[in-house]
Amino acid sequence: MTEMNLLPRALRVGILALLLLPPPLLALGERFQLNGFASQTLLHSEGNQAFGEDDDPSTNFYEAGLFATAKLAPRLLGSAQVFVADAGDRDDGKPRLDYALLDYQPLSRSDLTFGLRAGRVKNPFGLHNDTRDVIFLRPGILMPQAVYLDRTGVRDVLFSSDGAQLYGSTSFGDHVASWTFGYGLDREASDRFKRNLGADELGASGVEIVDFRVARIMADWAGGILRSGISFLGAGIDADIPPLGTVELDADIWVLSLQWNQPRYSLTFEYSLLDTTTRGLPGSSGIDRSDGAYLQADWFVAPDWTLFLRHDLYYGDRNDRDGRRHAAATGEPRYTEFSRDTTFGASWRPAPAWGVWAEAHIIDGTAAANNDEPGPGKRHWQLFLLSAAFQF
Amino acid sequence: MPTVSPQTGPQSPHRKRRATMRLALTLLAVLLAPAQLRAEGDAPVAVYSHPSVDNDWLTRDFLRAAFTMRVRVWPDGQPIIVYVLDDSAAAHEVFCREVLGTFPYVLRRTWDRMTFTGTGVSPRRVSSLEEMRQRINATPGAVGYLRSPPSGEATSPRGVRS
Repeated sequence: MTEMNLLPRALRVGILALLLLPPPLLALGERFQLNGFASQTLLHSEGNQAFGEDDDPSTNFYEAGLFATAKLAPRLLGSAQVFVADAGDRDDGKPRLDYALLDYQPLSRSDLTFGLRAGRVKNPFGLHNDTRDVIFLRPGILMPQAVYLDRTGVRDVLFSSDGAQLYGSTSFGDHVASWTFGYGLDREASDRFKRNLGADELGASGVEIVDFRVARIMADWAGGILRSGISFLGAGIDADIPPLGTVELDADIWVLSLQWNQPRYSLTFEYSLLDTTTRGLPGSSGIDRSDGAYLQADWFVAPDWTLFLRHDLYYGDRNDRDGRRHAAATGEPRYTEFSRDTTFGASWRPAPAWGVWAEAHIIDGTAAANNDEPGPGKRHWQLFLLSAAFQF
Repeated sequence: MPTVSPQTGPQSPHRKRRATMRLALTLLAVLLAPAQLRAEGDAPVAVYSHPSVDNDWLTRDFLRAAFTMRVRVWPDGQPIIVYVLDDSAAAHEVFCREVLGTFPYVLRRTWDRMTFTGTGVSPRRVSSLEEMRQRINATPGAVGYLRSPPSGEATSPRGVRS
């Protein structure tokens, strides 16, 4: 079953409406924008694997997207993106529809805006969730794991959902506050997500993502010199696992975001709290509380060159940050419960259309590792990545 | 070897003329130099729009909302068409700083966020101020920026109203 078949009925009606609109409204050229991007990454890991790679260095990391935005009417936008990516065993190289939406903004004043979006929409969450698919907009080649949980395969759930969003903004003096609230329809988990969840090993069927809610409030102070925000994402995963019956997992994620922008440098800090409650699975403690945070400094050393330094911390149990309690309870090494990642990176952007990125991760702890072989893995390990990308 | 004659002594008219000319040239150089340094870089830039755009709408707040693509239509319902130069252009940098109160890269991130999430179209990029002028003159609802003319010239760009 391809992703295309999962389009909800509302979306199919929306696309039909687009095709039936009178030609003047759909005049191409000035009202239609087609963009695309593609990137290829080389990854080399020392000690552990980040994505269960086959080769070393691995070239199984690429992304490509094609997206279009159309001004259907003065207050109405329509847009869609087709995307394909491979990321070791975290993604599979099958094309999918990342988003396809209609965006209507009935209120469009400088001091107050209001609108709604419907279809398959990207989830605004933290500073970077809704642009994590494009290397040109990411804070590095890999997303900070503390907040954005790439390697656990949760990108599918976090990234976009079928449903609707209300959004708006208000300005006060030199500042702007904007908000978004979104709700996603219940949907069957994609094959990709089920695989990452280990659904097959559990014998799980009927895996569904339910009760999807996302909210974000951002404030841009003094023209965006300071950005601050709070985000919330809540979702449930229901699965049938014989002979246990229905197993439910509820996840709530809160993120605090801060960014300070100056002409030659930028500082970013995000902190996330994740609570997962599991019901129906014997042996699980009920509620897992993890958290993570990262601090990144970017230096715009030259018009084409940026250097960055990031410290990224993730704790599987925020009440057991050094993992000793986990080690005592399970016999696993304590370093499986945390991940402390120091990343150095550089990017070269000689032209708007393309660039080269490089970064090195020095990691203590295996909470974010994903090895193919069994065992706890090595405590200290490194990742080296090199990417080239273009966009139009 | 020129001979020193009574005509070229220290207080002679010939010497005085040369000294005066040197002084005049020096003054001219001093007067011209700052003007030349200012001609690029920090020369003032002002918002410029199509005649269909009412001057009253060009408040600082509304311009910020328009250039960050937060609003899509003018108060009369006409679609807003935004024109900008390249991120690295001097006039663009001055406009970002002086009128929008931000930096080019912050603005670029704002546009990219909207474009790449399908929630906005990016501004139209032009390659020169002359092209900016032509495109804005030809497009109802268009807004952009141009260098302010030196005082005394007939004004075309509009000042920013706050």
